[in-house]
Amino acid sequence: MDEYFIRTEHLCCNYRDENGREAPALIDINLKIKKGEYIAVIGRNGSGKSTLAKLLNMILLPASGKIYIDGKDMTSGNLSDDEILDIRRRVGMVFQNPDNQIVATIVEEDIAFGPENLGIPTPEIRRRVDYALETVGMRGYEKHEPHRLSGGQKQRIAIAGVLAMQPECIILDEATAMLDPRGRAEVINTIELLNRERKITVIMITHHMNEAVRADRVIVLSDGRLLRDYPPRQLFSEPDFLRRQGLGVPQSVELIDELRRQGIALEGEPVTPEECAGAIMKYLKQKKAHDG
Amino acid sequence: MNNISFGQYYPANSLIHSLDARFKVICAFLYIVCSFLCKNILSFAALLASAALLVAISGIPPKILLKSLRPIIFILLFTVVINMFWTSGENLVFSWWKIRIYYEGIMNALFIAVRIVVLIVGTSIFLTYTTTPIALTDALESLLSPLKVLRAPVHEFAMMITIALRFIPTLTEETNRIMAAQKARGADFTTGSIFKRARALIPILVPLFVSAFRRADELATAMECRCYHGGEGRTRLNIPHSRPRDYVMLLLIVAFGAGLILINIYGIGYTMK
Amino acid sequence: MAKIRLEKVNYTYSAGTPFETRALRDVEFEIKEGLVTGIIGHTGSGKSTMMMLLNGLEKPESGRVLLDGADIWEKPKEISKVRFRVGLVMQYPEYQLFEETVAKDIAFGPKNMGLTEDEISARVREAAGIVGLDAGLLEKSPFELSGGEKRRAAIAGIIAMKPEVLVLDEPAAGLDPAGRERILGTIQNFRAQTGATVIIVSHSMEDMAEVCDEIVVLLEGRILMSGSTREIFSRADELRRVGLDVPEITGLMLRLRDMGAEIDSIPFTVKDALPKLMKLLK
Repeated sequence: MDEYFIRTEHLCCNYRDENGREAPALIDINLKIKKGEYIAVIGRNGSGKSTLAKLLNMILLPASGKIYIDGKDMTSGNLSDDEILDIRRRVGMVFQNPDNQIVATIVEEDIAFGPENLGIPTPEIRRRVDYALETVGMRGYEKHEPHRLSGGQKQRIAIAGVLAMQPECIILDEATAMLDPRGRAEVINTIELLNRERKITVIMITHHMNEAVRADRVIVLSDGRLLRDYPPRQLFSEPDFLRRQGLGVPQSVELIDELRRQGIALEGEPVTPEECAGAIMKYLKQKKAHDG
Repeated sequence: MNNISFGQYYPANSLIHSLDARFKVICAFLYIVCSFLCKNILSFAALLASAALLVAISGIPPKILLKSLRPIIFILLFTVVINMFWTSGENLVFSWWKIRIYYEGIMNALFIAVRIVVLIVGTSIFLTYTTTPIALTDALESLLSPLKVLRAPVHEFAMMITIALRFIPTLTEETNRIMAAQKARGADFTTGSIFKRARALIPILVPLFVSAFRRADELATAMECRCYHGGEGRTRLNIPHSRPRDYVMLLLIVAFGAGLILINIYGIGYTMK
Repeated sequence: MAKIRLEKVNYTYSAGTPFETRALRDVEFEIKEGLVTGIIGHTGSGKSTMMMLLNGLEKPESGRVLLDGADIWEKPKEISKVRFRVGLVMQYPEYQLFEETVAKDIAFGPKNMGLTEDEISARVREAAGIVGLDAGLLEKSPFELSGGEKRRAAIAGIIAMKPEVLVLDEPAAGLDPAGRERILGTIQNFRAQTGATVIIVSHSMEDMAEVCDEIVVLLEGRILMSGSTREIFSRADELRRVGLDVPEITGLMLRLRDMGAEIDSIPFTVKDALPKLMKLLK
């Protein structure tokens, strides 16, 4: 047994551009992800985030390098079809456009799609569908038509569809990008619940820095290279790096950074608005005590 | 389009709605056979009565059923006229210039009209109005599954239809959006010659195709991620199961057909030429 | 001076069916000439309907939409002229690209206006310049561009019609932060060069705080409030009560105030917040 659920060694992958030329999409990626971790992956469009996601559940194959899932070498080239299906079951994916990943015309049939493909017996599929709907908070929508649901609800259905396969890891490929703030909150809350209570490993590809703030670790990709693999606090303590990468910085982090530049020695590594407010208040109180 | 589930499905809680879709497909088929068994006044009267009974227990308002007849009204009139004028017989009813109408012609026209109407009403009641498109697809897949032995792609065909049904509302919405976007750039789809109007569709069709291909591509990946690998070894969440009422309905229709055959043998009333 | 005025506008979807929904109820407000007005509200609050009413893609059930004081539906046959004057950039506008080259696609609107070839090519170049598309990209197929470039090409297609009012529905949705930045830059650039009136719908309060002079808040088809950006965001409590966000920095400053810090007016950009805090912390 491997200590890491996902491990890559010198992983490289190429893609074919529209002129048919091979170009590197990922270069020498070394990753270690433990079971139950919450990982955010950030990077500009075209930095290789989606390629990485598709490699991890064998939708794409690497040009070179190794991928180990739960200790097993996925790149040995002699995996049986059943072994590949098992990897896709264990590493589920949720994509950006909710409309393009819902297969069936009725919610419960869509959630059953994965288990049906896996040949799970009917009573067990029923149990899993009910459980998955319960988990994403969509009980009562069994017979609804997906195209009438809101974006956030559709994405929760997509998550439930993955959940019904009983995965150990869920990869969300910009799954919140097309949602409004309410829908985004619905999806994030669901994912955090799965990570916290069901111990599911989460890999969250996102453009929203305030989503990345909540992860255990943030991975920064740029032009196919892995530039950072830091806890969020450490990453957001270099706002200049993030700006250089065209990644944007949460306003709270920006404020703290500006204050420090102007000589205010704030303590700690605050990243969320609550923490930043706390740090500023602490400084204010100390200053008052000092002054008064 | 976005209001009711597409197709003509009419949601209600009737006996016919509750039947197993596979049985409904068979019933519809047998009912068509029945309508062709009718040969004389009594059998056609029985057919008409059976159709009325079906309408009554289907819970579908007759008004809506009549609407479904509207598209075939022309065919109906055409057949009636042809039969009326072209059937020759012994009892001349009316003659003027070269036109001769016989009693036999009138009866044949009437019979054929009844047959067409009952055909449409019967199949719409068993199939389109009381069965969702998806249940119908599943029923067809299940009924055609013996053909898998002959390597016919029955599952793939059913999956194709399911996905098509799933994407109809999505693509309809997309078409409306693209149309609005092009109208905002001054596109005009309603005036000019046919040629000009056909050209005006290009700004809609190109983006629509591009988007449909993109969606197909993403859907294929998503399906692969959810372990789709064809129909082999697939189980189902909802397995169609038959209940006594399904067999009762089937038996009733078979009995009805047998009755019609008997009426034909003993030949009561006017018999169709 | 009001560029656009809505008077008692009502709009109902799928009227006469069980799915009937009133999208807008007695909506009344003004868009001031030459300013950037933001429209915020939840999905389904009537924002998208409102945008389609502004350029005559939809017709109000009752009430009037006035452009420069004239009812846009006075001559229904000439509604396409209104669409040239009020340019609408819909959500994910890159899905409307269809021509063989980017230049031809940008030219689609101007061509429909019946302009001369010379005028059209001048406008294409100008619009491409405003959105920051390199001349080299103009002869490429729009489908070869990157996501952000496609978006800007689509916006250029509207800008090339030289609209007096530019309406944008979620112009930065789905782009990466750098792409967002560029789109916001494009909008500011457009305004600086043309002085036109701009209307933006967005869910990102940070972006709205950055670019808008005025803000209108819609709630369930009604105007909840409207006013200058400062006025609207100073009513943060009310916004939050109806489930809308405020810019992150505003939230942070409100929190500080609640914790006892002496903050008189609540800022809505980092640039704004900095001097206030420095005064406090120095």
